[in-house]
Amino acid sequence: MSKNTTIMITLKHISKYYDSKFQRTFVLRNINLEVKEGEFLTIMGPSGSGKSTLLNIIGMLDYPSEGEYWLYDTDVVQLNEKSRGKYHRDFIGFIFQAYHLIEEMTVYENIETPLIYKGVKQKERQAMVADLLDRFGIVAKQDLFPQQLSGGQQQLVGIARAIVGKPQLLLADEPTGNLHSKQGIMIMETLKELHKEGMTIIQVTHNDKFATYGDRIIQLEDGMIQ
Amino acid sequence: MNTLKVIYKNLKGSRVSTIFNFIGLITAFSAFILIMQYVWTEYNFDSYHEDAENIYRFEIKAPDKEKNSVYMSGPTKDVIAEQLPEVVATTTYMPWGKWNEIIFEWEVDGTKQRSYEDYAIADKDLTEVFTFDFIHSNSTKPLSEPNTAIVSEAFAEKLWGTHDVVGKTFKTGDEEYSVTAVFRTPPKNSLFNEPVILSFPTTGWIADSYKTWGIVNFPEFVKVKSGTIASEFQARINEIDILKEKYHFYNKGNERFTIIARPLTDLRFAKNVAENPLFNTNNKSSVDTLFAVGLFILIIALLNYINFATATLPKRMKNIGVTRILGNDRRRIFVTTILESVLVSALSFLVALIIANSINNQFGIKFFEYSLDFKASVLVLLIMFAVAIIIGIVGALFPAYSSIKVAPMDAVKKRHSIARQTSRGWLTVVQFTATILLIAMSVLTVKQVEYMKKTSLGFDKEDVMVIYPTVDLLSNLETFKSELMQNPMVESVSLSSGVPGIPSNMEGFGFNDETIQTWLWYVDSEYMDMMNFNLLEGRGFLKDSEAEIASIIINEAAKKEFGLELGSTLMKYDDEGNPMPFHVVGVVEDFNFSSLRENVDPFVFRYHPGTFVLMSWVNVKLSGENTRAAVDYIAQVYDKISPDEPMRHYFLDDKLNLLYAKEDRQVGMISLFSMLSLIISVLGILGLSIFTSQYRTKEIGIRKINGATVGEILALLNKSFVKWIVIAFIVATPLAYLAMNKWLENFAYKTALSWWIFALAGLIALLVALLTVSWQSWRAASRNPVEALRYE
Repeated sequence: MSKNTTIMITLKHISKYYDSKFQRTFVLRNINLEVKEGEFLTIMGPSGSGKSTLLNIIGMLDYPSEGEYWLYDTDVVQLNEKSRGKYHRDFIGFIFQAYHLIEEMTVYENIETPLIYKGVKQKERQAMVADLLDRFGIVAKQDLFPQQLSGGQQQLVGIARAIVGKPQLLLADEPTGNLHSKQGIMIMETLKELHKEGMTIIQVTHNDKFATYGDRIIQLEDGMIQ
Repeated sequence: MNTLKVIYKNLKGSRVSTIFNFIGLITAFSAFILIMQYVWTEYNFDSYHEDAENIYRFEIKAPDKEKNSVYMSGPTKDVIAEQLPEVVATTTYMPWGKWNEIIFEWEVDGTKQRSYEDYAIADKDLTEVFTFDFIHSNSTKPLSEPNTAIVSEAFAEKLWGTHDVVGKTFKTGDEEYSVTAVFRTPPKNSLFNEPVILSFPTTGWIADSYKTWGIVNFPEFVKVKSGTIASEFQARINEIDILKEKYHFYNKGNERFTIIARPLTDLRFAKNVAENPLFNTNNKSSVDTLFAVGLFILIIALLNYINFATATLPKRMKNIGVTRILGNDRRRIFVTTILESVLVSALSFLVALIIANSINNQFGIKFFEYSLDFKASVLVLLIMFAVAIIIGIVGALFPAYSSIKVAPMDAVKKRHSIARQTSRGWLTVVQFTATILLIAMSVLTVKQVEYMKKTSLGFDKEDVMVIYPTVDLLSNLETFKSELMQNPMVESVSLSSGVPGIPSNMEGFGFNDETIQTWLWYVDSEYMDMMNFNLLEGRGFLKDSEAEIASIIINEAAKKEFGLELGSTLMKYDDEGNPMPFHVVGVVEDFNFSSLRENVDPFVFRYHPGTFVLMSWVNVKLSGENTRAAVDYIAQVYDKISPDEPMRHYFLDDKLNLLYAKEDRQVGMISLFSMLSLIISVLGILGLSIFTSQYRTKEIGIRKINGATVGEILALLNKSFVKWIVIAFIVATPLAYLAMNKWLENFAYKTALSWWIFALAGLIALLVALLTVSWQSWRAASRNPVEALRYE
């Protein structure tokens, strides 16, 4: 798929800080960033450099203290809770280091959850979930519970859940952090596939090797882009 | 000391659950203390009398009546004492102050004093049957002489400011009495608690009627030798020939009246005894129910307690794990956990005791009819305290054991299953079943009381003022009447020997060679018009007609039960044995002359011209406008005619409402305990929802990130609670239906058991539960999911 030049995300002078009695602690400081449609961006940096906070702000799970965040021509900072919820349903998918699957639900149910919130009809849901199970080769595991799976398999379920609603933006917070390298590679290959299909992906990682799966790498240190 | 510090820090660390635990336990213990004190008091009515188990009260049971009468013919007890060797002593005790207090006059330092006082009349053997703790006494049988009286310590203090009052005198009417003994004021749970007991009159109508078989008017008691079997004793009484003959009243189907010997200790809970103000009864099943409620509240509180302790466990486990890694030993952790719980429980009990005590002081009389005497039952309190300690121990066993069972490293890393125990729905079901039941019951009691207060009784009760008679008033009645009638605010004035609400005076008549017993009031020619009784057949009493003395008007019940009709002749015999015939001239529709708990019995109005020798009530019907001014006017006229005694009066509708004081109390009590039950249930469900949302924090976060709205999360968290409440409603409804039906059996006239009572109770419970749960769910749902996931 050819690369698109439309800009999806624009961050202008984004800062995030916490005020305590005598001092202001910055987590992010004056971040300026543009992400194009279809880009695979890797954010790297040491622990505590603000990678996850940046990802959370982009994912509308957290608010910047200062600055502007434009998603196409929408001013995200001004969005209310309800509209953010709408973006979570329709636009953004998340993958976590700790997978964050719901333990009481089967693989199938976990993947199905976002579709329920999207209001997709059951018939359609069945088809969409079945599609993904098939694609990731976990059809046989669909009735198992997360704790019955290996870490890599759990993360596959996590990815399946993240993309089942066909989001345009996939945010991955250290998706391979809990996996050994073989499984890590499998997950990164999957992300690469999705990228090829045109999905915009932003990943946070520590791993130099996995960082290179992205088109572009930014380094974060002390809350600033280096 | 160090342990106490650890406990303090633990409690402070889990502040929310500590506060909830205290509120829950204090609420439950307060309810428990009040209920148990009340139950204990009720179960020990009159148990302080020596040989209480050998004392009986006589009652008459009519063949086709549900309820017995406590009024015996005077000679009954003497006949029984003569014929049955097991009788030790007998007595007549008439707490007639309960009908009507009378005026007492006495002197203090040469100044005359007067006031209305409650009193009883008893014969000389009273102290042989009942136990009095005499402080001062000049005789072993202080009532053996005429015109003597024994008084309670409190009464003596009230009248003369001292309790050493033997030899002091006072007057009631024309009689002067001399105090022969002072007794210690009996406990509150006694039916024999009149402050002053007068010796039996030797002359006058009481003395005369006491000697005849025809008048049944006297509560009589007997003490028998120990070892006497009640049923055999009663059987032997009913074989006495004289009694067979004398109690052979009206006998459809040749069944005879039976004499019942009811044990003294059963009087309070006597079920099938016709209502009378002399011996206040209580419903045993409602006391028992309350006992069950008390235990239930306690169990629920305990379960809540365990629940909270478990809910906070995961948080604590980590700390416990760390201290164990640092060398703390398991036994110390176990003991500290138990000790903490016992401390919380004991402290809650003490606070509850203070609260229960002040509730008792404030509302005791409103709820319980008397204020409970905590000092009289210290043992009960101690037992309850022990229960509180046991609750503390039991409540801590599970968390204490769980917290040391897990290996320290697992505790730190949260590799344990304690947080997973979320299936405590049954607890909510049990709690809310009880709450819905209690709410439904309180709605029903309110409804029944309203029904009784509003139901048409068969006469007009509004704007009728009833004035207590005095000798001066009765002897100048015509003047009083004509002066009152000059005022347009007064519609009519009449006399009656009874007032609705107080079923006084039963009499026997001869009819077709049998004796029939019926309630009887003497009335003048105006009374029936004034009260607007509904005359079905015949006529009312004619005015100023001498011949009307032989006329009577009966109610439908008398017509039906005895087969009387217009023109029937009833016989009575005067003192010389001369026949006095009475003719039925009218039949009135049945009216409720006693409370709506009772069915309407046969009733006779007898015409009486002028004033009566017996109790006569002066009834004044007002126009209903400016009642205040009317009463003032009447009082002025009264003061001119009867200057020595201040006017005492009441309004009939107010007094009739007082008949339902017992139900009013039940309303108060049931409402109180349904509120407490609601509080405890709310705490329970609150604990549960905190527990659930804590446990599901991560899940909620994930769902939100996947697009769930706050509303969807709320629905998710509330769904299971709604399900439990619905189950509770389904369980509670038939139970409530049964309980309500049972309670309504106490009333001859019942309100409808409408469906909305149940719906309302269920709705209230659901609403409260939803509000509670939603508060917690909303907090969980509106939390930033990032935090929720970071928490993992």
